[in-house]
Amino acid sequence: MPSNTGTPPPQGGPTSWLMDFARWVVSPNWTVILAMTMTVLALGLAMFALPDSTVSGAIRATMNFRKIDDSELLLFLNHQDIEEALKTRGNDADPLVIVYTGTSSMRETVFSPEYLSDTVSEVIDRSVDSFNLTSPAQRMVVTLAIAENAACAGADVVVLTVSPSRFRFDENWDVMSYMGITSPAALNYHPALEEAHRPVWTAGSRAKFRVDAMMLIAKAFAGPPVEDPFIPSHHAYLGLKPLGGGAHDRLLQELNERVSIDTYDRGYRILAESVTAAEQCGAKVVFVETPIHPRLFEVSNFAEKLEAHRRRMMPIVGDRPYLWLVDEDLFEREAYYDALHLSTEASMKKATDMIGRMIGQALREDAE
Amino acid sequence: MKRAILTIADILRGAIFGFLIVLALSEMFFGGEIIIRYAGY
Repeated sequence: MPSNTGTPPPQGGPTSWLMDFARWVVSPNWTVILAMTMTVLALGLAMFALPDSTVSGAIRATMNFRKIDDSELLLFLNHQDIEEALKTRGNDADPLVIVYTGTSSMRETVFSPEYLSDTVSEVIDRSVDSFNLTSPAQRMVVTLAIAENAACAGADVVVLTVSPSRFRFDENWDVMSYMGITSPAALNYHPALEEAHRPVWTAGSRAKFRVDAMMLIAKAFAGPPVEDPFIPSHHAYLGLKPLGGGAHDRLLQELNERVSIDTYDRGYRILAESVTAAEQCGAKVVFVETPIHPRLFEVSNFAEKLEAHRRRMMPIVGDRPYLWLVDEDLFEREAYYDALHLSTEASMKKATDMIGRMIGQALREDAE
Repeated sequence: MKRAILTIADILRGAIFGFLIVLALSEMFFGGEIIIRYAGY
């Protein structure tokens, strides 16, 4: 007679071992619940006790981004080195350039003092990277604050590199709203910055913010856009990489099949807005950069995507200086040089020299 | 002996569950950025 108490448990074999183990794992007892509670409490407390360089520090920094106060910011805004450089330069006509960046690797490449030394008397690297801020929102706030104070301290040129792609982070939108900046284009618009940082201005400013001597750099976002249903953001896509080759390959397949260049509309729109806004607020040089992430080179129809991208970019770029920026490891991959019209690494230096000359020329015209 | 091992195992899986809970909550509130940042990018 069959039993009416359900299927009897399997006897022996690896399946029964696994089932037993699985049942044990998901069957809580008071010891498990106690350990779980203590862990949650400990990690929760640690968020407020560990340094910013830890995961919990990142959580805390993100949670507290609204709580940056002026006194904390002012610690970051010591511009004694700028004042010293102004005192010691021999000729007032020699421009002093303050270079800093919140998000970009451009500081080490295009705006290296090596490339600018012929046209400027001094380059001061005031990067937000040195402040050990883990939250992108905090980094953006501090970056903008440094820009203002550098200008207030008398810098002739402030080079501001802000990637519109940073707006893909919701928290950055929150920060921008908090600062009164309602669109990516407004990020490049000086009155919004002035209004946003008025407390910092009154604490340390002596000069008007010289927006006419400010160069803004617009960057295109070449990665998948936020709206894409499968790949919510560039970072999310990259975040799958450590899962291993299988996940990576599947993702690339999806990328080939589902992501077309037409879905990048948001990036192009933001780029066009940024370029226009930069020029409207008096930027002397607008340099357009397209970062290309190495992963995009692995899709099977890369050449087609690249060409489509070029067709979309050129009307925005116009006759402005323009550079494809690729990750360093791509420079070792000769096959892509032709596609990018970068025959050798020297092309990068040529581009940076050109930009350096343009900055110098704009400064000289400004002085005249 | 077996009881002690089982207790330690219980504590370990409780800790793992707790960590996963905190991580899941964090990611839910912070848009996956924490995992992404510390996963190597």
